[in-house]
Amino acid sequence: MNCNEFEQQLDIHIGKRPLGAIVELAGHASQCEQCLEIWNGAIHLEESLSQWNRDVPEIDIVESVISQIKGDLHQALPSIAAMSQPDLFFSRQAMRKNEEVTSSEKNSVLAVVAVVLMLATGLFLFPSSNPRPIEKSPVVVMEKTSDISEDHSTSPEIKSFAKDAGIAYFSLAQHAADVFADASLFVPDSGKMQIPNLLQTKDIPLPLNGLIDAIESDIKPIQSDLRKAIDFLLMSTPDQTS
Amino acid sequence: MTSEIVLLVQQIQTGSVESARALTERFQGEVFGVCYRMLGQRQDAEDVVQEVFLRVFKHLDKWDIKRPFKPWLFTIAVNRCRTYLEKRAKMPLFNEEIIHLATSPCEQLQGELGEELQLALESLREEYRTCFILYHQQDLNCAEIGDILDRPEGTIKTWLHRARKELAEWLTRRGIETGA
Repeated sequence: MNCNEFEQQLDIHIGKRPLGAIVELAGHASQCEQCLEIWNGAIHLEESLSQWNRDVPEIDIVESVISQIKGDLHQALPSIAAMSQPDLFFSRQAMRKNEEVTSSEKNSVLAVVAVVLMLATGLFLFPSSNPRPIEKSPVVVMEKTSDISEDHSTSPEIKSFAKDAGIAYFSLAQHAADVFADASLFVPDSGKMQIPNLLQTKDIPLPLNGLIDAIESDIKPIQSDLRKAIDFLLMSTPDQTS
Repeated sequence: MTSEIVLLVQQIQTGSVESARALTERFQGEVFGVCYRMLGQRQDAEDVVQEVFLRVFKHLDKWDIKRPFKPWLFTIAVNRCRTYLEKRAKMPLFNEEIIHLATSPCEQLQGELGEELQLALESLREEYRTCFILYHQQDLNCAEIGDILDRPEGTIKTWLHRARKELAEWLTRRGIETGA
């Protein structure tokens, strides 16, 4: 063992196991004057350490600490706990968000129901006896396009007319949704209403067939939507009135 | 052991006073040991230990549950002791007392090896003292001390070596003086 190894071994063992019991260290110290001085200092430190470790007095500060934090434990700590439980925190946030979405959804449904009911009421009051859009527009179309009977399916004017009708329908629906929020006022008493065929083309003159077909193709989805809404209302009406 | 502490901490976070009491009881001795040895005075150490536990309860959410609790607790304790020592160093009366104790042979301390060592410790640089206390009193290894003091393990070994060397020299010198 050289002097460096001696110092390293001292560092490892001091305070952990009795230095005197390590024969190699004692042997080297007895042969090396420089290391003997270090050895004596280490032995002195070792003796002091054992007494120093026993000298720490007892302490009891539990009640003092608890009395100071008691208020905090009931006020501040629960909020800390909430922050440290991200799942719980986010699930609460999500629940709040869902509640908001649900109420807004309810309002939208009510508005749509109001529109549908209004339209349905109008259709019942004025079934196919209201040919105004069909009669008026073809006159204009006939004057401008004489070949409508030959190539009616691809006429851009007819398509444009049908599109305008669709846009007008949605504008009306939107406006009605804004105005009539309370759907219950428009719920009919009878739950067994017959939905008339909105597009009867039998009595219409032949030159207008193309126009009618075009309108029909654009209005059919609307009609289908209306039917669904009205069916839904018919099913739900008895429960609401009772 | 670790799971037991994790459970206690979780209960404290839900407002359990009993768990706070249990945690304080479990660690007050060790924290007091560090503070007492770093500050050298019982009353000061008691004040700092209370402060340490108040801080622990306030910042429990900052403890990383995946890491051991004790080094985190000791980091707070060591930092509080450092702050306290800085404050105390600014008090002129206290400084004079320390200088007097360190330079003149004190009859009360003669023959009391433990108190001699404590006196020698107070003359050390604060880093050396902290390393020595954590290693020899709290039985922490160099890596754990490195975590607490935010220093590499090699630095801690060097500081420990120097601390022992200076202490041994002090004790040898005092031994010669007292023996004379």
